[in-house]
Amino acid sequence: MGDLAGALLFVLHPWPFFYILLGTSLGIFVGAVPGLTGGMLITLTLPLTFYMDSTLALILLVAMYVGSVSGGLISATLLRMPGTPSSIMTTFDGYPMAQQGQPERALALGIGSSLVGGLIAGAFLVLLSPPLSRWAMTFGPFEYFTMVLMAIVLIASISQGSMVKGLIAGFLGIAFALPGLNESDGQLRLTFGFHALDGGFQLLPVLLGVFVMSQIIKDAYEIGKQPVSLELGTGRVRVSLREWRGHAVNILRSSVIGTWIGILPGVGASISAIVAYVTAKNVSDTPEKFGTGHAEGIVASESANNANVGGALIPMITMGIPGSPIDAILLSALILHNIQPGPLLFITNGDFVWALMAAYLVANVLMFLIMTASVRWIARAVLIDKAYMLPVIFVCCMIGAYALSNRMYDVWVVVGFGVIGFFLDRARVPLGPFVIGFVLAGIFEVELRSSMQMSEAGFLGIFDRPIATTFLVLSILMLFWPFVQSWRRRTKKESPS
Amino acid sequence: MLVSRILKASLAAAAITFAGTATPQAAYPEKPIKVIVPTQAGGGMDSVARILQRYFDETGKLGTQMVVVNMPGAGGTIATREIMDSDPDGYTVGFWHEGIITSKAMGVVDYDHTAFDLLGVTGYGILGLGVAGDSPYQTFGELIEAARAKPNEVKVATNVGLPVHFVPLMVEDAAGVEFRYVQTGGGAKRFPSVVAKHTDTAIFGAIEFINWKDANLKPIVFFSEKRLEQFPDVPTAKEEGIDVIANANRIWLAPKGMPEEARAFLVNALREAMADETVQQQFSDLGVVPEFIEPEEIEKQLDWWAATAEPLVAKARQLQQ
Repeated sequence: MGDLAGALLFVLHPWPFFYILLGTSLGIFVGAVPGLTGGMLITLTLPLTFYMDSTLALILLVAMYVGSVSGGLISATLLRMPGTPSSIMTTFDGYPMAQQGQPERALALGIGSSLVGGLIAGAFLVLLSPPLSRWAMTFGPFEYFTMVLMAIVLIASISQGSMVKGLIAGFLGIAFALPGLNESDGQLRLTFGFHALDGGFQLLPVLLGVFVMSQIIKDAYEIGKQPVSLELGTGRVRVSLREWRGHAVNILRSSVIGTWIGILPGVGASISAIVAYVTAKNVSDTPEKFGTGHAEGIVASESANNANVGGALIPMITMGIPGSPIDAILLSALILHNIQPGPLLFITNGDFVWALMAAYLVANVLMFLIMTASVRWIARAVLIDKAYMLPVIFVCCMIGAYALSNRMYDVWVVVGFGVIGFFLDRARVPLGPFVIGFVLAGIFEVELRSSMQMSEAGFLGIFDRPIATTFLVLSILMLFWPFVQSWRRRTKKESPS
Repeated sequence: MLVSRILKASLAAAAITFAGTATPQAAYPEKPIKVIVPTQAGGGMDSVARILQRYFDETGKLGTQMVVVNMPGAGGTIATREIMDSDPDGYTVGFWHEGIITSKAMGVVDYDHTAFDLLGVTGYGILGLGVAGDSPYQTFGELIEAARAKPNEVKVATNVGLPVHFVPLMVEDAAGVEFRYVQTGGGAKRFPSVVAKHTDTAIFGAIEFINWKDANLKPIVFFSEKRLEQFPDVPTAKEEGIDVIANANRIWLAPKGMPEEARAFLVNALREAMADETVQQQFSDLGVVPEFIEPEEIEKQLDWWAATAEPLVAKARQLQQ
């Protein structure tokens, strides 16, 4: 605990505190404006941090992450448009409640739940990360590759609604990770004689393309559409303690769900919110009220999506595996700042890790204060005409891509992936699994091949390693679970007749 | 184009005004010199460029600015190709390590050091084999004995096709033993692999041994001429009867065919920089031996590297599983 106290003192120094404040505010802003996302902001900021101190840089990015997940609730409540994908579930109850003349209450519920969800996940982050990283130290290539396998299966089985589309996205991501100098055997692959492709597609230009460029194209395409906002009254944006007490169980449950889903590699905040919302509805005495402006719905969605942020930081810090698409960006930030993610991070960069976690906690508190104090201004800011912003974002995006390795090639990669991302999005293929597939493919291949190089028994060597075997069995179970479930449902239906 | 021509013209005009007695034809260098670094900003290789950049800025010894351009990717070959393909006018140069040899050996590129004009070496890092503090192999002798008794069982964490892969291959060859190679990645990845004993040993730089001394990483042999003052008890490979001296040289490369005037100017500027006390101190802090090696000398070393690496290539490529 001494480490955390020291780190909290550090982040309250003027510069770190300034960066948390800046990051959280910008995050809330892009979160609130439909069409601007946290992924966009963080990817664009990353190249600007190349020459910053690495701790301050990551503090800034984490604060942006926290802010952006929270800001979305404002537009979800007032415009019925999720400012970020993670606040989709908030539109179902936030907007109706606002329509019924209680926009302040809806916003207060969302903001308060975000804070509590974020802090509960923060407690898990602080308590779980050190022991988990000690445990992960014993992980070798076999463990890593089975864990990544588990993540890939998980992405497929969790996006059940559009499992096929999720899988397509994931496989496309994997396919684009293949070209270039192959780390495992030192040979070129799929470069078709183009020397520009020798280095493959770098993560940052791909992220800039998928998260930023595709969104610019999309926004430019829809530029005429102006959303209509509900007016805020003059009431104070707060909810009585008594009402909060009634939500205690829901908040706790949704936060734990959010944290847990966050820890699972590769699954983002929107899934957390959906699962928490559906669970809250299922255990409620009045499920029919959900979707009509019910407070429980707002609370479940907003506490879960913020908790997801803290949860998703856990695998990133302890194992170097992204817990969500945005963590994939943070991961590349670590690498660009010459910090090797992985279980040794606590030993090699202990102060840095603790500062990161402290910044996460402080960012959540600042988010609450900023949102409560300035929700009226933000509500007006969400109506800003994006025609003024897109050119600036476009230029920043190009410069950011070029700065990575001073090559025009990367700029073209951004444009290419922007177009791919735009069309995938129009075809309703989710971009999250695409990015996760792109990131995980590299880790998966390297670890699998290292295992094979390491073990005399080839693949059978996995059975010498109990943790890896467990991960493998779990992956197989998760792969077949949906089929088992639907088979059981079918037999249940048939048995009464 | 127009802008740069105007800029150039006005710069030249300014130069004449200030110099007073300007020679009729402009002397090299008349514009900033671009230095291409094959790694991202930050980190050991990049620091070499930044230290020299600061030195030239402060002393004005270059008579112009040195601009550092980072071009990471594909094991340094994105950058080396860019250097090779640049105009040999003396305004684009760069540096890299022995990877310039091994990338060709692995078939990633079809050129090596002979495709460049060499400008010398600004310091070199010392490489050594390291084990976990509680490894069953506490000395180099024990490691070799184990590899001899159980061929193909002592695991070496490596970064395939780079010098950290070829140096153990040279040891193998000289000692007549056989290691088992596991692709792990850069130093920051080999370190946890060795310390957590997923692998038995790996190549690390002297600076990595110094940084990670308290984190259970222990050197057992260095491939240097003489012992390191930081590790007086650790023998050199030569003492152990293995005739492998392999440093990680910071080798300056220029596109072939640059004007002799520019070449001589740059070699001299680098040589002078390496004689500066501040520069030497800054290099030492990075674990780099601050010596300047003449172009002719490094050419000989690289020829030796190429000749030694050549017969090992077949084995290096065996790692493809």
